[in-house]
Amino acid sequence: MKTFKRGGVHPPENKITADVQIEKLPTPGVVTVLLSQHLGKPARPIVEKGDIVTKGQLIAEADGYISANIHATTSGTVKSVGERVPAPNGIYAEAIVIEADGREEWAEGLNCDVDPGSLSRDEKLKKIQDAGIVGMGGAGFPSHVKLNPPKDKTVDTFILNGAECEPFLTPDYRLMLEKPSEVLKGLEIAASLFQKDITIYIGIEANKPDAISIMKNYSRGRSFTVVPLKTKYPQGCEKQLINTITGRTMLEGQLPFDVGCLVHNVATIYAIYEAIAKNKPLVERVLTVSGMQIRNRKNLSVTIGTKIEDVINYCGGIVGDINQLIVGGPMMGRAQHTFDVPVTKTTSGILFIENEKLESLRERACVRCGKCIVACPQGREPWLMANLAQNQHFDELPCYGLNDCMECGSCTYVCPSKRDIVHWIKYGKAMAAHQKR
Amino acid sequence: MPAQGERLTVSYAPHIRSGESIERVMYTVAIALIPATAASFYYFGFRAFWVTALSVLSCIFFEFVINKIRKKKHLTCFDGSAVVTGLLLALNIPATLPYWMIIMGAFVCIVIAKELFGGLGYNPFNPVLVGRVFLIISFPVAMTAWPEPFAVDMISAASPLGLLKTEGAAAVADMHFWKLFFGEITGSMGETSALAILLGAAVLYIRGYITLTIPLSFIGTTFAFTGIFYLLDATQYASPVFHLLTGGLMLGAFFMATDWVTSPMSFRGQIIFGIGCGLLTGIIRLFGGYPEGVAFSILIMNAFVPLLDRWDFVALKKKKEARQS
Amino acid sequence: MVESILIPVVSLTVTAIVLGGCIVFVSKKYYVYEDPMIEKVTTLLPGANCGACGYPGCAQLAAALVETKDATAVCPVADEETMAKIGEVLGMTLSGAKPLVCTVRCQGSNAVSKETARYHGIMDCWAALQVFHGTKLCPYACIGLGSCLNACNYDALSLSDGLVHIDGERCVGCALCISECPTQVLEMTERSAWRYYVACSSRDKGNLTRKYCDVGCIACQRCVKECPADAINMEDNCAVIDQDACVACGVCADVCPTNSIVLIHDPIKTKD
Repeated sequence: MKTFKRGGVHPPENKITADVQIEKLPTPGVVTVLLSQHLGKPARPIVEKGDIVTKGQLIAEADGYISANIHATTSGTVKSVGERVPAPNGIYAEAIVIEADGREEWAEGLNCDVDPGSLSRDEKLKKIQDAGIVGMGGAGFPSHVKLNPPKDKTVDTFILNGAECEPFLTPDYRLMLEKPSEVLKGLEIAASLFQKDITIYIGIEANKPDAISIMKNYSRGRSFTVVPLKTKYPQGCEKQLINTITGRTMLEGQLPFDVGCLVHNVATIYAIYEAIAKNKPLVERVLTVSGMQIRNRKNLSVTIGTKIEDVINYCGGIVGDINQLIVGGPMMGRAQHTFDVPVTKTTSGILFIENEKLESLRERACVRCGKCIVACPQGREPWLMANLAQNQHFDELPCYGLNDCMECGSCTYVCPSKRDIVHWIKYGKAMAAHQKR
Repeated sequence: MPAQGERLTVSYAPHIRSGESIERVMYTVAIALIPATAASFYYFGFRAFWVTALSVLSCIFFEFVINKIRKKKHLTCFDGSAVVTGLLLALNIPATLPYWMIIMGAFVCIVIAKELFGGLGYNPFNPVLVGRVFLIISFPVAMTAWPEPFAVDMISAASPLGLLKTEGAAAVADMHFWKLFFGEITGSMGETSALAILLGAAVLYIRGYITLTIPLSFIGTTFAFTGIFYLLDATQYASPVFHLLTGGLMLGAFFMATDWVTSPMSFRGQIIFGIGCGLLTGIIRLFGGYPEGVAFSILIMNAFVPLLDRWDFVALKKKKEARQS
Repeated sequence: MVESILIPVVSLTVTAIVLGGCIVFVSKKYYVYEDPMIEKVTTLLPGANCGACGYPGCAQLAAALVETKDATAVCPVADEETMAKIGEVLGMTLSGAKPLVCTVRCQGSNAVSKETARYHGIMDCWAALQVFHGTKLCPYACIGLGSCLNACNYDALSLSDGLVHIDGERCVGCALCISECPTQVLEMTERSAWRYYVACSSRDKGNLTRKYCDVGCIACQRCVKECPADAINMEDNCAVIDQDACVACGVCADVCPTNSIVLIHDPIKTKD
């Protein structure tokens, strides 16, 4: 079975919610829609306090090309614009708060069927841009930019990322099982933006055999190739996925289109289908609620802007002692400092964990065992970067591959000295940038 | 604000760790040393047991004292590294060594070679070998008083390598290789039984704690070096198989040269390290004043390790580019 | 017998003379001329090599002063007297920089500021900022993990109860700590014997600031109204005292409902 050539680790999969069908979490009374749910500049509000809005209405415009539109995720009244709320990245951010009227009324012209074949390439790209679609696997890169690479870069391979290598998370898996034809229609739409002979792969990890077979069934007669991938973290990271499926290697600083490839997440492709074939902007997403400390573990379709507190209540409340609330997966997700955080376009999972050993986790000196080097999927030396950062030698760091590090966490996972390697590297990145200024 | 009892803790990703820890690694190494330690009890009797116990306890004691002096909140003396140092030190000395010398050796290993540099992870030289070399140089007579195996009254005799150095190749030419392999020979407590060492090394290899790069390049180089001279003149030089099975080569190649803290991190570095150790061992054994050269060769190569680690072509090229721009 | 003493003595003496001769020869052949004024100026400078002047060390600043006679190359740490002496040596008038001291615009120790979650990770302010805005609820507070302490060569900064404190006697005003603070709560101000300042950096509206901290500035503007010298202005929901206009009467500190205004006695200035 195919896998990437270097590194990788095998954390326990814990796909507890694999057989749980997606449920719709009813829209709460208040939704908090952050103005920045993407990479690039935050969107600029175009509504004011007191305005009545309908579901899917544009409430904040993208600021520049690398930015994304923000839409009202339910119908109601705008309660505040620009209020500072806690955001999943740990820093306060501005949001538009809408008080829902319970009617879920779509804006005019939205939520109706459209034939994708009737649209030109530019029209499709514009629709994707208007719908505010961003990479929903976690990065949040605006999709209309990703799907429109510079003219001099030819893309000959399109990869649907169904790897879902993070433990606990199952939203992409359930989407593939429950909405296979929609996902594949979305894939067709995305691939149609490129040349006709583009090769299309669907990469799925081997721990999801029914997803592999269902995708294979639905791909019959079409030009998709389903590629089963060895279950190894971080199979779902772009560089590793491209290397596994096509054998191509991305050098430092390169982007996928530099090697002729384009990768998209299942949830993003589904959102593209909804945007183009159903005229629905990005207002809701599927996520996994899991971990031992929540009563009911579910896969939920959540209105963007729902607070985590509402999710907790719907899932039966917290059980026992909890000391970590993680948005995302356990390997690359962000630990939260408060429950008062809203769901955003890039929230793929909410984990409630009692990490008993956390307080006693003490960093010791690097014992130079080399496990991090073996684990690093980029083939760098994490121990060295962490040691350099700890000793404040920030100027040397880029020479040792600082910009190659995607912070996947494999090195920290295996370290016997319990060093916070990724945190040191992140600190090194911040200090190297600060010193440059 | 979180409710009472639900106070969250924020940390940076990843939020899960593998079960690997220093303690687990060190105690696994200690288990891997059980065959060699047991063989030493078998061949050298009760005193071997007291030597081992004293060595381990002294190492733990000295590390405890230093922990207290440094006012460390969390003691490191029980993390297993002192235990491993104690076991290895015992395997490096004759079973007849006076108890006060063992304690001095433990002091040098733990306090001077390890803790004074900052503790585990900071030492540039292999602590056990620093202790052994200190004992060899300070107490040459006591450190070469090798007891014969199964001897009742600890009469010392020359080890095979010692015989080779003083009497020449003829004196060791008809030593049975099986005896050398199983360990029924005079020597330090750990170096006699190649079989026991290989068993322990297999445990570490299966667990993934050592790779075979350094041991094979070390042993291979020594074999080749001594082999060349044996081929040139079999009357003056002993066979390379003899050299493999005697002295501290097996113990050194599998347990000392592979010590994580003092060996190179890159594959190329490890090969050079192994070859260097092998060459130096061969030179000292064949042409040097000491009959055994493993300890010295590993320590000398330890000094090269920071240089070998820095020899990363990609990084050096980038640094040059950064300087020029 | 005499020979056994004579031979080593003679041979060693000859060796010493030969080697000494070599040293003298080399030092004369490869002599580097250095302007003796540079040496004089270097000894006059404070000698801390802190780099605040922009040069790597005091010797380099001295070299720059001697070679370029640039009057703008000023040592922020040296006082008027020292700069005048240096000016004499160089034959130019040099004025000292106004003596500056560092202040922390925050009073948010663990006792008074509300906390959010516990933090487990690298104990450095920049490192903590990569994870979240800090253990204190206030996003503008001193994070309290001591990144600025690394920058100070004079031991003037210390941490206590989650807040940075400045020793006014030790601070020389080199300003190296200012850029080390990621939330920019450190500020350089002119030294004066008595100084009132608003020890808060919160840019949020008063109701939010109240939630964060017991002693934050809630922008009630009582100090602005009561100040007899009109020295206080509001900047971004936080009061700021203009030190040039301030007469240090202390009325603002008396009327402030949250005790955000703090009085500092400067230990050096009050000696004068």
